[in-house]
Amino acid sequence: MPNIKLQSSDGEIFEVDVEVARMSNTLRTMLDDLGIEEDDGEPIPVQNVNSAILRKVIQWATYHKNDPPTPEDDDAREKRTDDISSWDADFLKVDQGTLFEIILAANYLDIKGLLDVTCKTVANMIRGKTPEEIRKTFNIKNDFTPQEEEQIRRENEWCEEK
Amino acid sequence: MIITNEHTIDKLNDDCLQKIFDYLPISKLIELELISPRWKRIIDYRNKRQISLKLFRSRTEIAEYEQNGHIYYQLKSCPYFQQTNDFIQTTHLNYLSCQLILTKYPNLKMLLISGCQWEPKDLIMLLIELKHLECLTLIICGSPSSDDYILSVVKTIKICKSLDFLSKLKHFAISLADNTISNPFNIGFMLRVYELHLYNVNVDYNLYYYDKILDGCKNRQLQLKHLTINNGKSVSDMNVKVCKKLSSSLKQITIKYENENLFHSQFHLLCNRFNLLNLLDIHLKFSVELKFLHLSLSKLPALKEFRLRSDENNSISNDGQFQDTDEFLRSLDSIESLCFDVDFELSIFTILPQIFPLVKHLTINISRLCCTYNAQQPAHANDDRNQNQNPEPPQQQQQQQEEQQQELNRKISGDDDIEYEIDNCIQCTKQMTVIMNQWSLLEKLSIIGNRCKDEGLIELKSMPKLQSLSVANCAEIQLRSLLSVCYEIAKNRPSSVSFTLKLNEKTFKKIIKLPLKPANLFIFNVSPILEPELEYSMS
Repeated sequence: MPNIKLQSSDGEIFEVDVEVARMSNTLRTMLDDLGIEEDDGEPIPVQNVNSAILRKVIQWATYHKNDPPTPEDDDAREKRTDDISSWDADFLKVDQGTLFEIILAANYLDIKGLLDVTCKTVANMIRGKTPEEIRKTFNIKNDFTPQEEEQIRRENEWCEEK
Repeated sequence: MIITNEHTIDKLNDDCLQKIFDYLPISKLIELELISPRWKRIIDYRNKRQISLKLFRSRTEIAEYEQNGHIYYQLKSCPYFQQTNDFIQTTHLNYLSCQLILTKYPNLKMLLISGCQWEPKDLIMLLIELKHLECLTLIICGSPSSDDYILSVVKTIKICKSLDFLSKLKHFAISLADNTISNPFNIGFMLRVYELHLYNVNVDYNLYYYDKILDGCKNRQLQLKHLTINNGKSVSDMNVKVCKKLSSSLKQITIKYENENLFHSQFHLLCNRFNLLNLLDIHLKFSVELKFLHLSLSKLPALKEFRLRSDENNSISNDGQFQDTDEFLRSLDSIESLCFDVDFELSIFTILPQIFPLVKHLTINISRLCCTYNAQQPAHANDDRNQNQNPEPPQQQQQQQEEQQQELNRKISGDDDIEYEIDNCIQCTKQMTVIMNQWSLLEKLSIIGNRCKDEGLIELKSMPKLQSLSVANCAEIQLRSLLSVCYEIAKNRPSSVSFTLKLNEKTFKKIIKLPLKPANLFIFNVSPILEPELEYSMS
């Protein structure tokens, strides 16, 4: 298998299988445009991703490189968050900061499977929590004035919670 | 204290947050608006492209509708329904809430309102302002004799009369508790509508589609493509001319027959007149003979999907009339999708693959297989229950399987509270799946019914093209054996060929932990989201 080099934002160089790199649509386009097939010495810069996160992303992509494409079906499957494989669940047992960094990296590198599974993980963290608990969990400051908050509550009064 | 954004969710860009919100039900998003102005802005933006809203009075209501036969169940094949399966719970839909819906979800394409209390003028205002509305469903329930119900009927008639104003509305469904409304629609609407699903609404199509009306609008071809009639009457009440006009547009009919004589005199006529049908769904309150059905269906060269349902204890029979004559053996090659929810015997099932050889999608209620083994094997469930606390699937008893497989079975657990008993139907079920193997093109198999046993499913392994197995309302199926069959199917295929297992809410929730899943196996919950949180934890 031909390898290529990727360079993280903090300068570390990773050697990866071309097939693994091609799981990222961003890198795939880059490789195709540049006509890179195998290692020609020059590392490809991955500007927005630091070495710790890039290592995680490569680990994920290596494990999933032979995944079949998700089956096309007519069900409302996009919304399901409960089909995370145990490998992925273990892989994503990281602190919040890292999880959000991985999401940003998956978004930047355009790796659909990784973006899906990380977003599902965050959605699961949000599920079943009250707004106050969510603010606490994610350290979000409540910028609403009491009046604004009351206004939103009134807007949603017609739907019953719980 | 300084709160930095360094490690919070707020460092995600709008796109990523949007993506996370897409995985949450709409009822949760309403709560999330309170989190912060930024979250509210993103959710507001998302609401603007929300295309479907389902308003239910209670959680129990939606669970009831999940039952076979209800309009909600029927509509599940409608593309508008598949867009989303979550819903908002609400009991009052007044002027203010209609205004709020309008400001929040101005681009709705589909709206379902069930049992909500509303005033016609508010609802009409809302409907008229929803410029993109294409699909509307009203479900009115309650005891037909109650004052509330009678009031709702009066309101409903007002809505039906106003549908003319909704220029984009093409799909309309209405379900009442009783046959109390006749011909509520204006002609303009009836000429424009694509899909009409009517439960307990009487419509005299002769009144709407008579010659003069149709000649008067030469440029406007009849649009009606899908018609559901569920009021004890028949399309065959239509006069010949109306039928002829309609037959050029009508592609799908769903119909309930209550009277056996009427069915026998008119079903054949229906098949003859509407010979462009690609979907025929009939619900019977009596038994039917396979020969009679075959004769009628053979008049429908374009029929792709046939569904047959009957009330309890009504069967499809082959009362010795059907011998191996040429006519009988003539296969119905157009049919790709078949649904059988009737009482049947194995002898009937044996000939189905010959009659419908090209079926790709089969839905069958195994519970309604009339067991022929009953007399031979007395039940001894109690003894076995104690011995088989942790029963291994029979295929393991028969063959010495490698350790890995047993490991797998041990890991797949979580349904130990289900009591296990040997049922006489196992043999029938097994034989059924053997017969199913004759459908070499079968891609999707759906099994429904409470008495279905998992032992028979083992045979599914040998179906070459099977891509998806859906199991609903099968309380008796052991999740463990089901999963182990699916694991095995997925493992024995190239990793590029995926296999999907679809479960309903009840079964799905029994999954507590899963061992390492083959990457090409997908497991989905296909019920609407009933609970805000899914008790699904990964080990």
